[in-house]
Amino acid sequence: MRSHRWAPVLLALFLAGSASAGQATNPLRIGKPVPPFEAASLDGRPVSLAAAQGEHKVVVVVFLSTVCPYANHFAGHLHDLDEAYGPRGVLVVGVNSNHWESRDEVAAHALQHRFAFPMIKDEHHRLADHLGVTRTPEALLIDASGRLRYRGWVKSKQESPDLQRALDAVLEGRRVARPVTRAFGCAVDRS
Amino acid sequence: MRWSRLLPIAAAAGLSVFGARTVQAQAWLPPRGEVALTLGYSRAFADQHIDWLGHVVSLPYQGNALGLGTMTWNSADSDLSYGITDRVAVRMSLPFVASRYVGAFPHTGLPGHRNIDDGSWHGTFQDLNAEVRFKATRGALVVTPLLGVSVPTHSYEYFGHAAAGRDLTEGRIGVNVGRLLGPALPNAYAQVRYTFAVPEKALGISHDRSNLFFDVGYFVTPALTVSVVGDWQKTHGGWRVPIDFPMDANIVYHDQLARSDYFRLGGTASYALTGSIDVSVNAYASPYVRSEVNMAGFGVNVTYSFSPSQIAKRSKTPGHPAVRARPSS
Repeated sequence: MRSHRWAPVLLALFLAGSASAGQATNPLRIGKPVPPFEAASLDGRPVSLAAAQGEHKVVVVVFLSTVCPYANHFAGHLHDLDEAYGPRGVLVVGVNSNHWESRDEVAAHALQHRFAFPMIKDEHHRLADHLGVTRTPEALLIDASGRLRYRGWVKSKQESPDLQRALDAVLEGRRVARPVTRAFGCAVDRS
Repeated sequence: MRWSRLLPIAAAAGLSVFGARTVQAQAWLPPRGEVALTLGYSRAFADQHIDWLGHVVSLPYQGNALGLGTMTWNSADSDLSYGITDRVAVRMSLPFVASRYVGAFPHTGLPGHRNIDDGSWHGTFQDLNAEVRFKATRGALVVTPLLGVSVPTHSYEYFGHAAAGRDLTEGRIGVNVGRLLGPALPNAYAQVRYTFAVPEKALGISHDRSNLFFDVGYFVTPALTVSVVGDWQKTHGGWRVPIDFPMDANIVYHDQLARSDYFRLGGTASYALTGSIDVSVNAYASPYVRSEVNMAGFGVNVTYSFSPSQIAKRSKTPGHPAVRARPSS
């Protein structure tokens, strides 16, 4: 009969995993108010959700990274969205929460991709924690009443433009057909 | 046999090689609370035994020199990874291996051992593998030490060309190192994994093992990832094939103690069917082999990624718009 000397180790691993099962990030709910936040963009301008709601029909907060291939793949699309929807009352706000990406790198990256929207360097990932974001890219769409109307990917892996569709729906007063998608990409580095 | 979604990114398909003894590098951890369940099929085959000098082993048979036969392993692979925190992840896997030997030199005739080299398929669960990884670094260069164990699920037959595995408990210590290669190579990544494995001794003889696995990949599109993967193995100790084999009853341990050295090289492609489901294929061959068989093979895996807490939340809120509209996850 075999002696399973490693059984206690396996059991400990299993219990460790089970014990933490309920500790995952708890994201905001669709249709519920998004708790207000304030930050400063890279160029020093204040960015306030409450203030933005008064001035814009929709606020899109999108978490980005300078090195994540997925975030960079959709950078051009974000630039185009900002250009096309800005005149229609949409404010795009970019956020970088990876602690190891410097402000200079984030600024250079924004310049490289011709981002005209404000970029926030989210020191100590406070905003990512506040909004329950785990990936880059991940987008949240907040309407004029401050309620979350969409969260998830910018586009699907098959390039389905779900963020753009959600923008169109909210601007046209329609229900967002697909308000939650499963964001994919690189993990927000909180370590 | 992989945690789909590399980097915290997408799935990198690894080599599904012979009962999970070889796993791909996993420098990046899944986010806290995320599970990746992979189910796969892999097929490995070999038609040559290679000795310690690199020569094909043959034996006299009816007046001619004849190779030792052909072996095939079909494996149903299951693999579960879970992010306990953003810095600690665990992983468990369990392969079911069905194998067959066809040839003129089966392993037979020793008391206490089943004859599995009878030309028929023999299936068994192999070793339960568990691993914990810890993200040790801050920054773009990801360093992830690991501790792992493999425990045979039962006392399966290890004496035979068609053996599913070595039927030995082993511990592993190692490290994964990974890096996104942007901005120089914007859509590429590289990761390596070194492990030092300490299997149970047989006859008091140690046969520890070093494995160095590399994975260099490229994101062709958000849905498609391709990579080149390789696995180098060096056994420290054990028996050279066949020069160190004893000519007595201890020959029964020769498969467990073989000083298996090799380099396996392959490629993978992974495609995202949905936001939560990925399918990957891989193939590999063994350009360098010593005291081992010339294994080659291929595999296909399907990985489903999900968050148990989100599923629980959805089950408690029927009719919520987020529930109705959520994709497959």
